[in-house]
Amino acid sequence: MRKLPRNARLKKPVSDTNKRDAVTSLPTGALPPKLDEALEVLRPWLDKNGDVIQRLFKVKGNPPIPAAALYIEGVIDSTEFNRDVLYPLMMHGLGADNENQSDYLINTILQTAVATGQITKAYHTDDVLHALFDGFVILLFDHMAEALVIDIRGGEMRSVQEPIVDKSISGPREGFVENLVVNVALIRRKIRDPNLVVYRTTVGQRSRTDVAVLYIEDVADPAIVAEMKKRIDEINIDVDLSAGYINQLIEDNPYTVFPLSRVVERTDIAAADLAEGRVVVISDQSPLVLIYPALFIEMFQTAEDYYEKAMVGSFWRPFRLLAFFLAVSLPSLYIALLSFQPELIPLDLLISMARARAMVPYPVVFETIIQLTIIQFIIEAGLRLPNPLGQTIGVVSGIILGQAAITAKLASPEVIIIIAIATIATFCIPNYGMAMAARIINIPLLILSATFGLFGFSLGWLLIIAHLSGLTSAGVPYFAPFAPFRFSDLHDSIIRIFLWKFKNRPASIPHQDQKRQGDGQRGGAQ
Amino acid sequence: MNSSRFQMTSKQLVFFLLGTMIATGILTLPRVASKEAGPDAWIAVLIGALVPLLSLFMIERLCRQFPDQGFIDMSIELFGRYLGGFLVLLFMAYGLFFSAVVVRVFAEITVIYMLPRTPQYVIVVLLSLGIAYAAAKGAKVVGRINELIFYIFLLLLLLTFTSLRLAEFTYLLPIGDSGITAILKSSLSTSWAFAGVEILFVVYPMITRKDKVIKAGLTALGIALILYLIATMICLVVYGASLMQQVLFPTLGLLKVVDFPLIHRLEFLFLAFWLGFGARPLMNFTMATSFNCTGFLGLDVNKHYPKIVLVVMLITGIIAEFPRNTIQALQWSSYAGYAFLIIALVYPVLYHLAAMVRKGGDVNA
Repeated sequence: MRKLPRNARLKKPVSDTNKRDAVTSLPTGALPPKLDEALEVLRPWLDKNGDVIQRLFKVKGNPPIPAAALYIEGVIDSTEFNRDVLYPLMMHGLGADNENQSDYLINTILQTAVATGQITKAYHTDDVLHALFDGFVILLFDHMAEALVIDIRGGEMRSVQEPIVDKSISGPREGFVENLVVNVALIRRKIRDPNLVVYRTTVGQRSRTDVAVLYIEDVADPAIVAEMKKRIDEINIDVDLSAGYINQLIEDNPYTVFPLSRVVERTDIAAADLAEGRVVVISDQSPLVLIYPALFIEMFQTAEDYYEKAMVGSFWRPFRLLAFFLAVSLPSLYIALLSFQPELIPLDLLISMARARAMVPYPVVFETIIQLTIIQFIIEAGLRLPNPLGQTIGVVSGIILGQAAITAKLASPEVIIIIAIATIATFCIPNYGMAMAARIINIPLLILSATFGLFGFSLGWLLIIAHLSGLTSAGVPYFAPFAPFRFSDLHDSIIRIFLWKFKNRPASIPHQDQKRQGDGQRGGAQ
Repeated sequence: MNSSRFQMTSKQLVFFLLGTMIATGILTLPRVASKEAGPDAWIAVLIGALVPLLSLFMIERLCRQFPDQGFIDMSIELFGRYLGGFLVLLFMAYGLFFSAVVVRVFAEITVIYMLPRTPQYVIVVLLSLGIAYAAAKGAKVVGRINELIFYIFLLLLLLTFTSLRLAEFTYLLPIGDSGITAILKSSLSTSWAFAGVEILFVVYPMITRKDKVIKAGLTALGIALILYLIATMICLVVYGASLMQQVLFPTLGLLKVVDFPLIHRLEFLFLAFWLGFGARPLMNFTMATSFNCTGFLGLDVNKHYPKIVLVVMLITGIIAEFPRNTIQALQWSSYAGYAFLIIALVYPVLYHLAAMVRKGGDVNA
């Protein structure tokens, strides 16, 4: 698999000494057994943080044990804390006898007094501090060497909603949320296979973001899984805020505009891709998950291609690919034809175009670039403004500005139509990254076509194809099944054939288990 | 990762060879073939295919004895350091010359048909840079691009069938009328259209399954022959042999025959796609020459190969500027044809002889 030079580049800022210091400056070593001393050691981190709550109490018994609960406000579920942790300890305790040795006692507390599911013990000061700021509840007891770490994380968060980016007409309306645990559970509910592995790790020295790598052990290619784990483990940044950070740090080639991973919000797409032998990377605090390896053609597939009948699915696909082609090349083609090869345009059309163009005072290239810029402004403005205002902008700019520009003879109607079609076409591409890529490669292609006509246009496309053929995603050829050409995978590329004919897993994605579904399904045909 | 950038499957080899063979040739072949042979041009094409066939067999037989050594090591082992080095240099010079001719002829066609007011050297520079980018990605990617472009080209070739409604099949008759000597004379120049098989010398060690090389080579040759035959036949029945001599690029002219409602002139569509297609030999030869060159200079392929590609491309571009005009450029392409005959036939024979001497006559084992 590709050893990436960017890793070397990444390493540098991380081995920077002051960041290392910040992390290792936490006191290591065992926690002092006495409660006062333990709190004294932790004091610097407890006092300066206004959101850390210290609750001193006594565990009921004879004699009562002084104890302290430490947690962060708003990160834990306070109802659960009061009901299942504090209440049993204060009201019931351990029963009669508290005189035994500490090791035994803490096990008794763990086993009989705290009524929560996830609970572990911690010995070291830095572990306790990390656990506290990771959002766990820490219980410290007097004269006991260990602390209890309880997971009752909760608090306010967004509930599972319909995905905003990947909308679907006939699929499930369930999107990922910002919570890793919930996201993993959403996938688990879809694939109940015990071989679905969830590998957990943390990324970011300061943010300590939980990251999960999911794959089906007996389907996914072990080499790819190992490579993805390695890449994630090599990440060494301070704060990881979104899956987008991770994506940029683990992708194969940063020098490309094309998205080398599939970024999805829909749980069903993630589940389907897992079943094809791919690896899903989930970062906490991010409602988008990453799927590796990804293919170029996948950026034009949507979930409902598979939920609707095969013919409906096959009807949509070519339009999306056409949309990509037009989004990339329509303005360039217009310029190339109009300024270099007008003989290619039918005569009647050419005359009307020329008549409109004659009024416009500057060359067609400038006209196109100006219109492209304006459209980009409109998109940007529509995104930034609040929803109702955004629509107004659309109407104002689209109708009034366009009409006024034509009347004022600042633009010919053809250019406005061409640019409008190209822009609408980018919105037809289901994948946002691919839509952006189309919008970006539009510009160099435009310049090439404006300088060298159709020759420049085809040279540009040759470069795009050469570039695409050389890309890899997790070491897998990105432009498959076109280059390298894989006939067996064409059934799910430009068209999508019947579901019962998907006998084997796609050859473009390395996998262990070739067979996807059994023979003898009738598919309702016979 | 190390050598995997220079690996090809036998399936990719088919398209790699096809891409090296079929290029500008398919545009001029019908005219060249019918110059002497007249209506029997297609027989000349058939006979012309014997040269690459022979070459293919000889090269495969030879390389089989040195499966992983590569062209340079093989030459040095057979001929010694100096003579072997000289032969490798000569091969590299041939590669440079061949790509220079391709890029120049390509630029000429582009200037004539698409950009009449652009200086031809601008096209050469632009094309060289674009191709250098593709070639620098290594054999694996070049193989993939070849394959993809071949399928696109196949779709385009279907367009030439549209001209068949003007076909006059009596143009093919009488068969064999032009005489054996004329046909043989023609077949000498038709064999040039298959120039490119000799690249097998360089790519042989990159093929993953050596036992399938000969099959892949034959498949490539077969497909090329069929496509050439189709082009020649269609041109013959549409133009007739004598009229064809007046047309510089008869195959391209076929597309002028039919007027489609929306796309006014079909040959432009063809030319727009043709860039990738006509530039393939350039890409393949640049890849091969640069690979050889890196090995010859004893440099690390993974590190220095992309830089070498740029240098090779620069030299190619300079050579391409030597011919003074279109006529001379086309003349150079016939020199390239003769050079092909030497490289494709004399080289393997020479190497086989050397191998025989070295191994004491026990070669074809």
